[in-house]
Amino acid sequence: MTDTLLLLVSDYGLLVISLATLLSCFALPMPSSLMMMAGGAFAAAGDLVLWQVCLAAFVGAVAGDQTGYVIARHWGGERLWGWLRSRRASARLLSQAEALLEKRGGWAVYLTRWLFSPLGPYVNLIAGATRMPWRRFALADLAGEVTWVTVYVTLGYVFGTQIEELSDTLGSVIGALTAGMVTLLLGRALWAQRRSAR
Amino acid sequence: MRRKAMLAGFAIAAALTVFFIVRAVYFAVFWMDPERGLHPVEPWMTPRYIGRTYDIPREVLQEILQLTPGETPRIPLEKLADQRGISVQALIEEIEAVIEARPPR
Repeated sequence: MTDTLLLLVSDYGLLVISLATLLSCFALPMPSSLMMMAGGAFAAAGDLVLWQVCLAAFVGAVAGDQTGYVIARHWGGERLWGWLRSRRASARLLSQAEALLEKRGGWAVYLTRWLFSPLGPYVNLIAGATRMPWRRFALADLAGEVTWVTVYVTLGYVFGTQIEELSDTLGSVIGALTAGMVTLLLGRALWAQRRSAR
Repeated sequence: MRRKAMLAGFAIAAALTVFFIVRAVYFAVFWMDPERGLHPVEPWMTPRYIGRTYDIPREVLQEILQLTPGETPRIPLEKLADQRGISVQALIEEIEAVIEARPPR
């Protein structure tokens, strides 16, 4: 699987990198970080050009995020959100999420681009559905994707010979961070609920 | 009902956290192991990538891959082998023989 994807990068180059970062914004299982690292490694070897690799990854990622946001905002996401909010089962959780996004939306978008990247696609949808101001979303998105692309392409450039090992390790670290953050947030919500139930 | 779902979510998230921490440590330990040796040559690698990774002089690699001097295309090994009508495994073995034959650094 990994080898096939790497084969695609060496065969088709930039286009595959753009496509990978684009698809990963729709929560499709794409090892886009590995492919960006491969791009960096090929740039170090002289097969690709560094700035072009960065640009290709960046364009794909931003296009994907914006698509998610726009779809959720203009095609029914808002109605779906409204419906979910009107149901008692999910109302409070969702209004909490909305309040959090209202207060810390920029940071949520920024950090879910690269540090908690598995959550990125969902945050795009929520941001669109809750009508987060587009400028704020776009600015945080651009900054976040610049960080994401720079980190992984640089790692690939520097650790060119060990990208697969690095990807396995780093992927797990990101997984642990994301799952850990979700655990903390749910734990906090449960704690608050228990206190208010007393 | 909702509390149950949240508790289940909490338990799953906590389990995933532990799983990923263990996985990260496992891969890191494997990665840092000095006995592990070099990463094997693989079909997706390109001539330049192989040259840089295994520190093989360009001319040696060009000879194995039947490339003219000055030619280092961005073509994966697999495709190069196809074009030459040989198996990619044969190419890999030839390259690995060069790596083996080198005095250890």
